[in-house]
Amino acid sequence: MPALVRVALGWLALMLAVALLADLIMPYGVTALDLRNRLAPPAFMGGTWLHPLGTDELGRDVLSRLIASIRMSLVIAFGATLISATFGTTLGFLAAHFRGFVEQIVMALADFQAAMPFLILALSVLAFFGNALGLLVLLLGLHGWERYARIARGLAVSAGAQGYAAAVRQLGASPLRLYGRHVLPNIASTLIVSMTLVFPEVILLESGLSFLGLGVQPPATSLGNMVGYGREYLTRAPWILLSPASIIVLTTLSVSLVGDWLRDRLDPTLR
Amino acid sequence: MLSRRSLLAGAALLPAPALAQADQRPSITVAVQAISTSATLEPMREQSNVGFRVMPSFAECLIEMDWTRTQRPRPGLATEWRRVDHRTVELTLRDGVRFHDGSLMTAEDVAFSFSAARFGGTAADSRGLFVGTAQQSASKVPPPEASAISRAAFPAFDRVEVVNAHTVRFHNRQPDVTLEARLTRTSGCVFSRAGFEAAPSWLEWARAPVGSGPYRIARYRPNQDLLLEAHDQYWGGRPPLKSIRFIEVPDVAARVNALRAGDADFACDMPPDQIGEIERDPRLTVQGGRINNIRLTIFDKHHPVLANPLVRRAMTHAIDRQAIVDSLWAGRTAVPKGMQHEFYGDMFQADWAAPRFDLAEARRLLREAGYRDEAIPYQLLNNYYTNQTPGAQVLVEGWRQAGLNVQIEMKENWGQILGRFPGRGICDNSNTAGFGDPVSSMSVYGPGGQTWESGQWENEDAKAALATLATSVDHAARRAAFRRMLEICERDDPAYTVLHQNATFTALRKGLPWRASQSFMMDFSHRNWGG
Repeated sequence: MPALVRVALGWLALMLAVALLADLIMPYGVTALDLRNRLAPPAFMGGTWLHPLGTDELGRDVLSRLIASIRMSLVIAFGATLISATFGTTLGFLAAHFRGFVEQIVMALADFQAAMPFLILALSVLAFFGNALGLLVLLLGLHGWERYARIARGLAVSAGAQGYAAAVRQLGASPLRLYGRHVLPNIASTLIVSMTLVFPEVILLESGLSFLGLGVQPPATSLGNMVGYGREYLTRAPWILLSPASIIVLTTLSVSLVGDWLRDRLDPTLR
Repeated sequence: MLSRRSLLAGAALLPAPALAQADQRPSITVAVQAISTSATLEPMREQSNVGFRVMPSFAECLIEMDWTRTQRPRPGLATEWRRVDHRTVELTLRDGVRFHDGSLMTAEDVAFSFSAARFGGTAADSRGLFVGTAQQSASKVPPPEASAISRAAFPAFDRVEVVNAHTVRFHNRQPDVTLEARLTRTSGCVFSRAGFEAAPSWLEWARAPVGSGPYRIARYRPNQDLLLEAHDQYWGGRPPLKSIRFIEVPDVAARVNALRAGDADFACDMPPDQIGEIERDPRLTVQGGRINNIRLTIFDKHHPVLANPLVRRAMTHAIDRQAIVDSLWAGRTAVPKGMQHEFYGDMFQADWAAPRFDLAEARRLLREAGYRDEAIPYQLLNNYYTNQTPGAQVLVEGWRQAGLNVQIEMKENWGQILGRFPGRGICDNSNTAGFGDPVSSMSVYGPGGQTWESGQWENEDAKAALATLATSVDHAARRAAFRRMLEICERDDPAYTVLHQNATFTALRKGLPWRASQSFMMDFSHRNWGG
């Protein structure tokens, strides 16, 4: 395992731990403010260890908000990635099983989705239906489903021609059992690699939407939301914006590195 | 293939530079967060803070308020005025006032400006008022908002009598000591009758009304920009600027960047936190300060939780107003003594004050009210007002400490705030004192006022007190009525609670001979440019 991948895996484990233990390790409440101690610099820029990453424009502890933001962004990204993987894979299997008309429809939808600039779609949906957190997760769950659908369809079609699938079918297994218990585990590695590609995209998409003011809304916070509201203080209090921005960069980079490594590991032609 | 060079060469051939040589006056660009919330420029429809910023450049009143220096009335389109009785004012019109269409102002134009053609009929149903922008329609009839606004601006207005070509009389149905002062608001602007008659529809007229101000409306693209050009036949002499372009840039950082890049000469509504950063640039400066506007939070008394006045009173005591002023506003504004300004003169109630910050009192009131952590929704616009989103989070945190469960719901536009939808709770608002009398700010909390008409709050006692304030000529009775109004609206049955006096800061290029006023309006006339 290359050193870089070890670092990336370590970083992801750290992020996961932060997200899981958020309530325990947050030094202050997310909304707890101290107006008389606003825009305090972080410890390494001349501030005190009371607020290691400084305070924001309302005197809220940046570290606490960062921890809450990591949890929020990871929950959204995990939720959305799971939704798009489930949705896309199911549609891909349906296309592979029924072929013909169903396949045409699914593939046409996938083409349509791929041709559509997703940010524009997301902006218009949020503008029309308002921005509840559940809706945001569902919407981001629509991102990238077409890739799973295409991969799942292609792999399921080729698996169907293989002996193990034919054997299970002739033993009388239902299609649900065939695809769920036998085909899916055999093609899962490719889908997992695909997930590592979609995951950072969802984080960036959520950050972008929140930055534009259409994603996570105050008083809740997310990485993109912190960057968006911190941008006015870029010159005066850059720490508000820099810490979430570096988390976004490091996390998406780590997931991509791990995904790249996984792909190399799982591809039989590279062995 | 069009290269950048050939494009530049082509641009040089355009006739614009030739015109510039003939007219040496500067043209300026002003970056504002919004030009109009209703997508019209008609004061009888657009009564927002942002609209007030641009209107005095193209429309004028018979009597004007000097918001830059004295905060006192001065002659506008009328050169003098006198009282005939408690219900009647006679005004002498200025000679030689030309509208933007070139026609001379007559008494008929004044009569038109205060007629049903602009005021509209009586609104049968005030539901859905103020919730959207003006819609496309071929009709010449003003929308229902015009009726509500005109009733609030001139509650007992009867008619304008044309005495002769230079003299008009304003008749009121009720006595009103503030009749002259009411004429100073934007709702008292005079427009050309011929201009209205020539327009194909009310909406097209309302987007380019023909007034007499120093600049005429050359082009207005709603939600985009407004181009004003010098009206060289202006009665006060040639205006000092060739043109003024207002551009809508909702984002603060983008407005500052437009100023730094030279795309704009002015950038409005700067948050106090940005002032130091902007002034570090040696080419830029920031002007402005406290204005005749108070920021407040409005309660919808029909929300099941807020229906109990004790809950609303508890909320008023859980706000650390001074901390908001000291931190978010860097001490550049102040906590007012309730909804009043010192320029109210002897109507000012010096012994009244905003509710004190007292969490124990708030908790006691909540216990008395039997409040049990029910959620109270707070519909919030993203920084329509300066410091709105940060301020709202400070409020919610204060309420949380008092034991109140207030949930912020981010909204996109005023329709989602003032519309009649289930779950409407708290919202932000501001109140402008258009002239030096409390009736100017309190009329919002009576029939015809925005808060009353959008169904957020009604109170029969307040209605009676406001009627006295509006129609009595007895000073002591009016003072007592104002006091009663403050007691009802701020304590007994809170309609709102004041947060702080508003302040507005404008960033501009150094060396521009312009001064900020003590209101939202920007004065680009000869009185305030150069000299």
